[in-house]
Amino acid sequence: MDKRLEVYLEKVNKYLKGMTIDEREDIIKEIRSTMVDMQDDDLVVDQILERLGDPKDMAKAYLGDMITKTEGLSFKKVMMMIGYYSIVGISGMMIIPVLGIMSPTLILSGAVCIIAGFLKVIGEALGDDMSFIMVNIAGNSFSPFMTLIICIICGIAFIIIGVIMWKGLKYYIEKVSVGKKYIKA
Amino acid sequence: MDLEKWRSQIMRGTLEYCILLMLQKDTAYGYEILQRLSNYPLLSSSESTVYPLLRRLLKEGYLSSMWQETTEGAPPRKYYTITDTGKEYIKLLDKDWDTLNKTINELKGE
Repeated sequence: MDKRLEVYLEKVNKYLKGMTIDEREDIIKEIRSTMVDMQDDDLVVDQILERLGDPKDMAKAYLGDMITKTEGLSFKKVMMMIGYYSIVGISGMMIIPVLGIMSPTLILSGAVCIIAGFLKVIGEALGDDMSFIMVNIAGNSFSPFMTLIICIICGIAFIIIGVIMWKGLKYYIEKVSVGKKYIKA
Repeated sequence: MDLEKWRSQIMRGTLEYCILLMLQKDTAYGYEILQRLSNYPLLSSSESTVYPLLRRLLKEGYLSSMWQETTEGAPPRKYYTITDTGKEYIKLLDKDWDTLNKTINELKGE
């Protein structure tokens, strides 16, 4: 068989990691037999490669279909998901947890910050200086009123950054799942 | 008007039904199934769509498969056959399909 077709099969095989060797062999064998059938139908190597598409997409289609359609979460499925996401991009393994943790934490911190600022001012008015709440920038402390202002500014900034991250996370997940839908089509 | 999206969505749901119907008539190998599908403009699909789908239908027990040697020394072919479970499954799909047809006709006012 043509070298380029062999290379194609090798690539698909490589991307199918996560599946058992038996399954991979079976898949490769079927694609190989299809290639021969296509050659018998007078398709040239370029046409065959064009029809089969990117080897990555081919492997993704196998992995994607198994992941989305098999029920339950088995060890095998987890292995396939790892395979799938390693194709989708390591980005997913970084972006989702990082944004997923940072975004709510920032929103929460922002809210706490603003509440603390108000507590400081209220405490001052009631005669308790609330010494556990203070703003310290480069060794300078601030009056309760200034503390409130700084708290509000920082709090709002934290919340805005948190919300942007949350939107980014949602956008990312949607993009990845659109990819998955496309695979199933 | 973007028909592509609508078509790909119908396809997604019906391709499996069509392949099962095709295999109910007779056993076929992957490339053969693809060739037959390509006779129908709406159903024409790529290897990367059909093969994983066949694989899933196998896993779900609706199909069985067998590697068969070819005569001229070419690599063996994987033949797909419908199982009894598959036939039962088709009956259920038939019902849904009929209902859908009736519903659409009713909505069209026929």
